[in-house]
Amino acid sequence: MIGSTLFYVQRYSATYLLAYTIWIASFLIVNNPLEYNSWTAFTNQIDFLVLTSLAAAVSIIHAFIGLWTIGTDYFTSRTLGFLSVSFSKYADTIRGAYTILFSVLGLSIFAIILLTIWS
Amino acid sequence: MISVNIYRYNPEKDSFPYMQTFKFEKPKRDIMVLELLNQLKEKDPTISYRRSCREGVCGSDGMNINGKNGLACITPLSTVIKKNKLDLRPLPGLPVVRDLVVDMTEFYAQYEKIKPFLQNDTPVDIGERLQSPEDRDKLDGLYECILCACCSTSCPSFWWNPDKFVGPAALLQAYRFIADSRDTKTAERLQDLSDPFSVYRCHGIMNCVSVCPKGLNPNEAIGEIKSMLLSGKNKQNIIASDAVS
Amino acid sequence: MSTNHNKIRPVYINLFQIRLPVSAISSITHRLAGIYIFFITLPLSLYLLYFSTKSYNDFMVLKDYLNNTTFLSTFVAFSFLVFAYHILTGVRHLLQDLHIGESLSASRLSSYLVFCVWFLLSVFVFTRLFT
Repeated sequence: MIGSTLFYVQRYSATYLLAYTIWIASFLIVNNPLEYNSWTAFTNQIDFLVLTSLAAAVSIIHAFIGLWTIGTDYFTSRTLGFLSVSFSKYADTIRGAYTILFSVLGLSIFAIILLTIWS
Repeated sequence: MISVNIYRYNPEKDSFPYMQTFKFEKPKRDIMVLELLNQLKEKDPTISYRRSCREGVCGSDGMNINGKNGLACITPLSTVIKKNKLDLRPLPGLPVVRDLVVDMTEFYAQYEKIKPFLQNDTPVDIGERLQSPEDRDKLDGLYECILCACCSTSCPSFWWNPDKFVGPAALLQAYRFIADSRDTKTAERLQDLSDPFSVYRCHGIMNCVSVCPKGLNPNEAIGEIKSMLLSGKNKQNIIASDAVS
Repeated sequence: MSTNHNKIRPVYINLFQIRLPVSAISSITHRLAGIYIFFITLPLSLYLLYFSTKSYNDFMVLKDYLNNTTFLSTFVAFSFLVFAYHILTGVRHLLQDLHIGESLSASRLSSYLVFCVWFLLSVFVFTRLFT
């Protein structure tokens, strides 16, 4: 069950982010060269604030699933053992450190996006 | 002259594997890679490799030939030779026992895990379980697998997690039983595969399809399993006939 | 020569020698692009968002940097191109999840198609950047 949950979350988040990217990209293309007034007006709209906050949350979730998959593929005693036998002993520690790193980075990015757009 | 490089490793003599080069006269008629190996073994009897049927049905002689997995006995030399060089290496990702012989334990463990046998506890009246030709056709492209391991050992997801990701070969067989109309434990089979690792590590890399010596498509079968898992077929109630026995 | 009794068995896994078909290349580059996006493009976008909305002066300074510094503009363009690549291979992935383009030949074709489209996009972006 959890396998299909992660699968769906990854695909739905991808679709939302695709739609969001197209929205932002089309604004930037139509308003090229970008002027301060039009950009500020756009980024102060309520729909921009809500959709961007959602995009921030969704992209962090999407990234976390992908990065976790990478961790469980490459930072294991088996895979690290292919690279160097001495590394493989520390596989769990390395994977743990990597998980903490991307989690902290991801949550910080999410927090900063919210702070930036809402103030 | 062809230069044949063979992966050599003897646990009793060597600390590390190495490549040994043999010079071989280019044969006048096209021969199979297995035939070439047999002739090389006459020169050097210590070369070790598995082989049996020599016709591509037993799956013993799977190996990595010039970078691509295949069965040595049905791979003509002309189709793989590059610039008069032939590299023979063991199947990737599995521990090497000696030279071109690999330890298939992990591969077989995954095959066992998916319960590769018909599960049907309903009583049989007439001595056999009937199946219509249409239902039998659904097994085409699934039953022909000879478990040579060429596909699973070409799959990066299987290289990184052979104990958790079931692998294309075993998943093809899992679907073979899921799709079999005579098997009643579909929901249970799917439930056993519903965790994030068993099936979902397949990212559609498709190495399996490109190397299968029998022309099978494990990726398609995995796609079917995924569809069934996503539509919740693993959560359906056990069918009534199971309750009879 | 020391023997290897009871020691671990070697495993053959040289990625430079094992033949990787085009679908596999597509898959691994999708993953690498994803990593690049998370660690570089996303923080970069945040940086651009922050300074472009902070004040008029900051906006103009940023605009000036992007227009006149070759390194920064190339870096930004490249980072967003990697993002575009992840999207293109991602769409290919989503279509395969919907059972579109699952056969071996279709898969190879779609991989090459994605590479072509991305290459053309990159050419377009860089010619606009340097003209």
